[in-house]
Amino acid sequence: MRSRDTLSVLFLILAFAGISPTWATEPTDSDCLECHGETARSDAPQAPHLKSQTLPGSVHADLACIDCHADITSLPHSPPPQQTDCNSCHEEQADIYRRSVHGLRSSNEDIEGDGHKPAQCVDCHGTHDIQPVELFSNPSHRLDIPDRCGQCHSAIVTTYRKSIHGQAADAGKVDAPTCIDCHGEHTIASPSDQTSRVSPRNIPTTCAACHEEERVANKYGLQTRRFSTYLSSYHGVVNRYGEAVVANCASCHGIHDILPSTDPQSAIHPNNLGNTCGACHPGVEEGLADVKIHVEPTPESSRGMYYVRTFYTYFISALMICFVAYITIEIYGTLRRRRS
Amino acid sequence: MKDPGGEVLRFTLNERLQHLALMICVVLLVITGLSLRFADTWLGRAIISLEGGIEARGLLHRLGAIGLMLLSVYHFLYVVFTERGHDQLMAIRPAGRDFRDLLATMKMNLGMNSAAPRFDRFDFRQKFQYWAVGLGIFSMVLTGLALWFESPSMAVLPKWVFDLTQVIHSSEGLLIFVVLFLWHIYDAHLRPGVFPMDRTWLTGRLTRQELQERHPREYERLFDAEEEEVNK
Repeated sequence: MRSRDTLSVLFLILAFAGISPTWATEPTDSDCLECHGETARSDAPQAPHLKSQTLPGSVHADLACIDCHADITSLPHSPPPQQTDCNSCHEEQADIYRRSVHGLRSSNEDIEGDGHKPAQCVDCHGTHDIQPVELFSNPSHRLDIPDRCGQCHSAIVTTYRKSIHGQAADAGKVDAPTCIDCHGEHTIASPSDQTSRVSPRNIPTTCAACHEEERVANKYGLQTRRFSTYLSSYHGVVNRYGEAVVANCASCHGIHDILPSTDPQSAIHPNNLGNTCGACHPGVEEGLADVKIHVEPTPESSRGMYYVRTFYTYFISALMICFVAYITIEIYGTLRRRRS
Repeated sequence: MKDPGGEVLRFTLNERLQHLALMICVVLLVITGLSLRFADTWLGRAIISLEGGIEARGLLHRLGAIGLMLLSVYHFLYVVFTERGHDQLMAIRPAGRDFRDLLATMKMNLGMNSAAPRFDRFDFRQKFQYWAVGLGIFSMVLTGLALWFESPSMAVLPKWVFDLTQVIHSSEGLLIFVVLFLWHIYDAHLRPGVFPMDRTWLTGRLTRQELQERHPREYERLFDAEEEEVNK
């Protein structure tokens, strides 16, 4: 009995201690806002001010400050909080990110030598104003993506904005590809990485996601069958096997600077085609203006190819029919002679 | 060419080796070529992986092409500049008679006419195979070289001609495959009377009786003169 009484007393003491308002317990949001809110305490002049409305509007509205800033265990805290660790909730995404071109770099590496560090979660997603990811399929927010990537990759984004894809995105076309449609998001990988969506092997399927898609092609009047006609070309066949260096979509059409063939700046404009093809096939510069490349042979588009192909189909079929007929007649004749 | 043992030498060792070399090159070219034409099918993929990948496939194909081109040049010199070769070429050249022989064979087999056509050294089937494959190889070598050296040929040829070259090379390859692997295999292996195999391509010989049955006109030319000599 005695020991039970002692335990009860001890429990009550601890319970009262637990609810007493001392800084020794975990800080609540209102504790944080005492210094970081719009009206901060005068004794915390250096605390960065958090606009109180931003967090409530974000997808993390239900989280407490210390859910992300887990290293703040007591107040006041003297060192600034460490980098937040999204991994504790978003384990799957963090795992994918770690294998991406951003995640594979050390988080402090200054790659371009301009002070920019490899992108981390917050660089793309934001911090206290973090928005639900569904918003990125919304036209007005989709256009934010090049801006986010442009924080570090500004030269590329400038080039992209001049391309047909960038022009379409700026014009508010919801299907226009932004950075992530080709590069992926958390999976983003270097083109030299076999698994990358923009590796020479995977580029054709990446482009085909829109250019072989009837809905998108019809909507914007794109030429169809760009992928299947490429695949049946020698370039396409060799590309599928992934062994040799061979032209993929980007080799001829460009990368961030893709423009339609009607644009004089385009790598596939008739005037530039010679140089574009000549990059791999020296000497072909002459005579490659205004030619058809991976065009589906129809009677209208490529008469010669269509008729030669059709001729062979019928000729080979007719020949096979003749052979089979001859063989049948010969066997019939042999059997007839044997019987008689 | 008569043989005292009652056999007739139809093809010399030289000619049999030419045929063997042709067989090896064409089989290699057909396998490595058609696997590219059908590279998007499971069979094409399986064969390409057996060939050691898409690059090794191309290497093997060009190796076969070199062999076939050397053989073609040799064969051309053989039929033009050697007496024996020239005689063979003259014997295999197409004539109006071949068409009549074809009709007569059909009529005989259908029971409309009992008289079997009387063939000379080469019957119409053999002539057809020789010229079909010969012309086929000529067009394959021409288009194949254009595709092998694609940059210089694109510099010289308009793009649409280059595109046609690809279509012709690929379709002609299929055509040769059909002629050889449907028709020639039937003619030399499965035809009533020769099954399981006409051994002439190995031995080069036919018995006098076989020659009399299959090439009566040649038989007469060879042996009637002999009989006349004996009768003298």
